[in-house]
Amino acid sequence: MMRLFAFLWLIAVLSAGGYLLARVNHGLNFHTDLMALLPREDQNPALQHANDVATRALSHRVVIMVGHKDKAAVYAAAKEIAHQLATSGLFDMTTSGFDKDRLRQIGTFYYPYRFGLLSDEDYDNLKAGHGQAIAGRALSQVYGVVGLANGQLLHSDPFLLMPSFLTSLPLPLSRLSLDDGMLSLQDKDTTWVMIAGQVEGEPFALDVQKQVSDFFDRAVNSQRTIYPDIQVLHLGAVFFAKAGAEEAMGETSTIGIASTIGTILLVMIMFRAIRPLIVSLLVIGVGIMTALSISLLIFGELHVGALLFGISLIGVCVDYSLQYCSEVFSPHIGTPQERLKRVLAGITLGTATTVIGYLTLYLAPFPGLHQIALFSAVGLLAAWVTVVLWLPLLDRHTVLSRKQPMLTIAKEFLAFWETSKYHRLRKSLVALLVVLGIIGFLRFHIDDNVRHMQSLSSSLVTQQETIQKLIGASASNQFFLVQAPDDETALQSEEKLTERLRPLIAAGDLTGFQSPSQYIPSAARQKENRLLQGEQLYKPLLAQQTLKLDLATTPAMPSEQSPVLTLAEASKSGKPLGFLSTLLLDKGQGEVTHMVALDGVVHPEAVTAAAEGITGIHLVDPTGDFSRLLGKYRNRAIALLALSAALMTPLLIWRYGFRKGLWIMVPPSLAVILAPSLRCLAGGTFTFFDAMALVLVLSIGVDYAVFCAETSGKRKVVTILAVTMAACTALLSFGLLALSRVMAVHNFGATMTTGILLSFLFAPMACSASKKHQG
Amino acid sequence: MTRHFLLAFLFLFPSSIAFAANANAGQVVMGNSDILRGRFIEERNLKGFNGPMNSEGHFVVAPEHGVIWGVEKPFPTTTVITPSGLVQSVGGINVMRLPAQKIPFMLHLYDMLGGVLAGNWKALETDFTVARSGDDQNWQVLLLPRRTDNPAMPFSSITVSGHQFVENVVLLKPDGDSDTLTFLNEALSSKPPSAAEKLAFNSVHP
Repeated sequence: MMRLFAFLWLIAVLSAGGYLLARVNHGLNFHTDLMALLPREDQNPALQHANDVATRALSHRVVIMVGHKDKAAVYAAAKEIAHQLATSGLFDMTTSGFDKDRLRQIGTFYYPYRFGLLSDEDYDNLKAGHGQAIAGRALSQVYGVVGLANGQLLHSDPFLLMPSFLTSLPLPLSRLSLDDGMLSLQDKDTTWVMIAGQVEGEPFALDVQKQVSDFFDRAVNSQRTIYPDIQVLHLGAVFFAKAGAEEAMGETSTIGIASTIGTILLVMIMFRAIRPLIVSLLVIGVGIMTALSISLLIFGELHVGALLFGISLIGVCVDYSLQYCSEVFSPHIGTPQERLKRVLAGITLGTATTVIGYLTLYLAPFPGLHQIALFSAVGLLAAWVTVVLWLPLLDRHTVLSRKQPMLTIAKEFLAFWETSKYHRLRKSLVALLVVLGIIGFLRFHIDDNVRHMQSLSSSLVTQQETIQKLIGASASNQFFLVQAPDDETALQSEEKLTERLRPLIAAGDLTGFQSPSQYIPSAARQKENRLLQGEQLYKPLLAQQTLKLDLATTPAMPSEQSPVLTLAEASKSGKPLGFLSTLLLDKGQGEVTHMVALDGVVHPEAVTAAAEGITGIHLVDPTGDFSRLLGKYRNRAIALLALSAALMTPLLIWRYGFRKGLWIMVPPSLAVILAPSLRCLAGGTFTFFDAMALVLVLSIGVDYAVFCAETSGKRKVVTILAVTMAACTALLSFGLLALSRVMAVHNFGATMTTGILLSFLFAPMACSASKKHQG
Repeated sequence: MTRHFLLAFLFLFPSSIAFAANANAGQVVMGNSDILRGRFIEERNLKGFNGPMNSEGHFVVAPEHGVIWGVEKPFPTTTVITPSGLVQSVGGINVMRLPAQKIPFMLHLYDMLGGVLAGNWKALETDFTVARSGDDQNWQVLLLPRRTDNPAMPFSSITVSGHQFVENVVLLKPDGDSDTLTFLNEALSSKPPSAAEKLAFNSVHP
């Protein structure tokens, strides 16, 4: 009968494997975009969508700076790199299409609409009735130092309002000037040329990262061979993501190798056989493969974060195979089936409580947690089936030397909890831990800042800083979203916002901003500008100005017929203001979404306050949002932890009765409560990743306690031995993560280490409880 | 367009002032803390205008501080340019302020200024071919843009001539407009700038 079930399970596992293989063949992609984990419970779907579009656009951006002392060399190299990237199909290079005459074209484009255009300063001056100052400025420019005007322009713009408007435009990247079709700047003795563009694919997909970075390296290296002294700086989410993934992989392999070697040594020393190791790996392998296959079937795709956490959570199943394998140390070894029978109740209860714990994560409305919950629950169930159905069949164990030094240690450890000799020591230890826990709790420190969680590549951070210093723009991924029924309304809202943002720049709260309304004033504002020009300048001062300038013909006056510039016209591709389209996100049904880009936000509160009371304007702060999201996840994880503890308890009560059932929850609960406190006592912080570790600590703790509760008499030592082994492997696989430089991983590992040690330490309390209860 | 005006404006400094350096044997060497003061007469020919536009005034060049260009006729206008930017005022009221970060090229040119004052023509050789003629008593330098198709280059030629100091500068623009500058009463002083001059230089700081 067992053989039949084992065979059926084999078929099931093979089909899962087959499905997985088919998916891999079609190219399996894991998402690495943290934003993909965002909860879809946001109040405003339009805002969410606009936010996604803007954030995505930012994450696709790539900036490359090429520098060399020889101007000709840097131009040649930059042109070639830009050309190679543009023709690769991986990049959409925006600067390669930069026309030589762009600025002249911008001037020509605006010219017909000049009566509706005014710089903010001129607008203020005319509103205040200072037309004479503007007329004087025009004269001073004509007669001043060198000609700031040409004859032709003066005949159509005698007050030189156009040059004033054009210089007031917030042309992005102000330190760069256009020279020979390239954006360049001079820094000391080095000429830098900027190449910018967008990554075509998904910057958080591992294969895109690899292709992009390989191609980029090739393009750069091809120029390095020609110009060995060339300097190349690059910036973009895709590069950060790749460096992050590489570092994670590098670390994972180091930590992974250490933990694998440790585990192998441990099992070899304990069992003096390779088989327990192989079956344990088989159990984990089947668990992970089945989990992956079923999750892909259900979710279609998986996030890499869910995958990593899921695999960690499934790792617990090694405890079950160790429980089974350790039975060979029992006084009565018996047949494999008999051995299974002895541990079956323990591991089944362990699996049931753990699956409850993991499935609780499904109750949170976070896509990330859904994936983790399903993945780990499926994996754990598959691992349990494998232990129960396959392990006895694969077991070829016959005789084993009973001399086990570890058994002696296990015996002593048990004695610590069970003999009256250690009574006082026991109490003092628990009291000490509780006191330390309370002190630690008082120093409890929560940290959700996403910037702290990652370890950003320091070389890339330096490059980013250098680029920002060079081009004179500071990175700010915050921006305003403007939602309105139509462009005109949006532009008017932006004009209100602009008026409030200008003083903030003067106050140093913000370095700069770019709003569509600065390039294209609303029709209402254009009309007002035209009236101001007519009433304050042309009517009172034109005759005098014409005379003073000695113009050959009298310039035209602003009139009702003066054309009005529209956003639709200006943002057409191919027009010199085509770059505006990056600020115009979406044109949906009866709604438009604009973006107001921000540079160097120093005081986010002041900037947020600027938008208050203007309908349809929201500040978007992806980093802040993500930190808040981590905070939300952290709170949810803690709530779910409590909930899963509450859901596990009835199962234990059903098995052990009310008092004992509750008592079994005491050791894992102590571990879960004390672990974060002790971590904070040691100067650590509490993050979402610590909360996730606690979910695992609870499951592991309940497992250990259940194993102890299920054992009795002479088997106790064997159970403790198996628990010791389980704790050692858990420490080897999770504890080593504490060595990671990535704070998220480090915190996870550190809390796991503390939690596992505490769970292990307190586990025999469940044995003593059972004795008390039964006795 | 504006860029062009700005460039035209900026290019003048190395051409009009900076050349008052020791590039030619007869030129006076100007130290970093020295101040050159003098008067100028400018004749500007713009297409579409009835006649040339003439102006005159005084100027101050202090390598450590900046440049003051004070037009007296026909309209009093003062322009102050320093490494931080440019400020133009009429009757004591600022009518234009351009911070250096808005026109980064200025910073570069301002840096070049020092080099040229010390007689280092190399700084200009990236953008111009430099041809010298004449003798110590009457030297002439002709600057021709290396590239004529560069829209950022506002001049078709610059001619500088002088003796101890620069005496004449002729700027020709591609569209046919031209400027002729004549410098008079030039004098070098090693005293620090006057209080009024200091005030003017400081007014540029944002």
